Amino acid sequence: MPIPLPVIEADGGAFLSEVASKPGAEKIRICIQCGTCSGGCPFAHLMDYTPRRLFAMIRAGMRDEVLKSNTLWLCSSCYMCAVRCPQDIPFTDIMYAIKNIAVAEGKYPDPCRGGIFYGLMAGQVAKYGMTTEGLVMTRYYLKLRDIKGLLNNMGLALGMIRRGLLPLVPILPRKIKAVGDLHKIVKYVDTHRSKTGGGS
Amino acid sequence: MKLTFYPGCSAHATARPYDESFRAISRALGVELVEIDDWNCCGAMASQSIDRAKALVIASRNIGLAEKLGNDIVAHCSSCYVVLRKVMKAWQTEPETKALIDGALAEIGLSISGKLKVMHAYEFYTNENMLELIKSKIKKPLRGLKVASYYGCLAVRPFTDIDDPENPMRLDNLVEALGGEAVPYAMKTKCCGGALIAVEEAASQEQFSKHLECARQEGADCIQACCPMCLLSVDTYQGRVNKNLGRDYNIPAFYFTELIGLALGLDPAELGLKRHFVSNEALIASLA
Repeated sequence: MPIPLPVIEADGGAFLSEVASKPGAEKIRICIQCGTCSGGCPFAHLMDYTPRRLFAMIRAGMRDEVLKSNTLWLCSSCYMCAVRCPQDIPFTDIMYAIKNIAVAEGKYPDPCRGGIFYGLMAGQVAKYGMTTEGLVMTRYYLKLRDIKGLLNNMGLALGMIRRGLLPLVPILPRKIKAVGDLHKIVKYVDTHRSKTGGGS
Repeated sequence: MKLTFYPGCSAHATARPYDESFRAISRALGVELVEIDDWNCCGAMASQSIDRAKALVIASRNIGLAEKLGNDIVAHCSSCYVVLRKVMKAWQTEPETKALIDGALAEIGLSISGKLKVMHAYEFYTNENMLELIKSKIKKPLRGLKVASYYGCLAVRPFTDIDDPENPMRLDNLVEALGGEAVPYAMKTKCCGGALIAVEEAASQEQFSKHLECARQEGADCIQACCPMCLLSVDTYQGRVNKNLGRDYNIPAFYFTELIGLALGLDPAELGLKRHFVSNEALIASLA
């Protein structure tokens, strides 16, 4: 079993322990800082901090910088880092865990297009049980006040409608039949999570 | 053979040809698909990014519904497949998450037994027995067709028990079984960037172009994929890549299920072949 490396912790290791307590994230303690994750990351060049650096910052207790970095929202969840890591650390899942902390505390980079997009989609799934692509995209561009982006995508949407890939009115929300059941289980998570500490 | 089918949201939208061809080849090969009644969206990357516990519980409702049907579950969307497997893994390895899932599902009269396997459609249709069955029913072999197989991320990662996570071969073997020629494709498991399609438009289109360029350099006649996002990136966006990056790609892209359907001699209309952005008519005509 690899031995955890000594780390310089500005906060006494509090943030490291917080992240490591998430399901599957305890292995972050054995990162050897080799940079294999950053080397295989398709979007590292756009990130405030590369994945390797982000994990060093977690160990150093740089909580705010980590939570507000765009790195979290540029992870495309391709899992290349996770399968290449010589220490077998599930980095992609840890990235999700950190995003959850940032969302719960309302800490985002500015702007955070990824956070807005995922927030709209996750909201729709919890409300209707379905994703309506046209509605997510329309609300996303309106929220960004990006009319050019909206118009640009309308052209694409028309091509999709013509091919039967989108409904004629692509912004009508699709719903499951048992929406009541869905809301029951969502409410159950909200009321029972604190007691069980389950999941995130 | 009977399977429980989880189509996912894209089946009725961008991935309609995937859904149509998957159902068509299943009928032709004697595989009965029983769709989960009133299934809900898996939440993909979005729900996990916002709230993992809630995402897993919402997705677990589908497993609970599938338990009533009893058979193993098949999903053709790679994202749906990974999310459903993640639910099962969390249920099996995280006692607190299991308690949350079990408690929530009990509220709506559902439960998980842990006995159902979650499969990717590509896994199901590329195992050795299935390849033999397909071979025995081929009516129009894809003779001379050079195919670049694009596996993408989620069909081979993070669950690596189906194929190699960086150099998988099952789709390549399928091409050979169908009578075509599998061309080497260095980008076969590289991320398409589809997750950032609306977030980082320029960077994602740059990424799409790398996949198209690789296929062109290998002399591929077409690309086959097993994920709706992968296909969106190389087919739906091919015109945009050409326009925005000054390229002139003209590479048809298919779902692997469409190629199986063509080889089985099924009607192109039944396979949804006309729903693609890049025209494939000339290529299909050249096969006949």
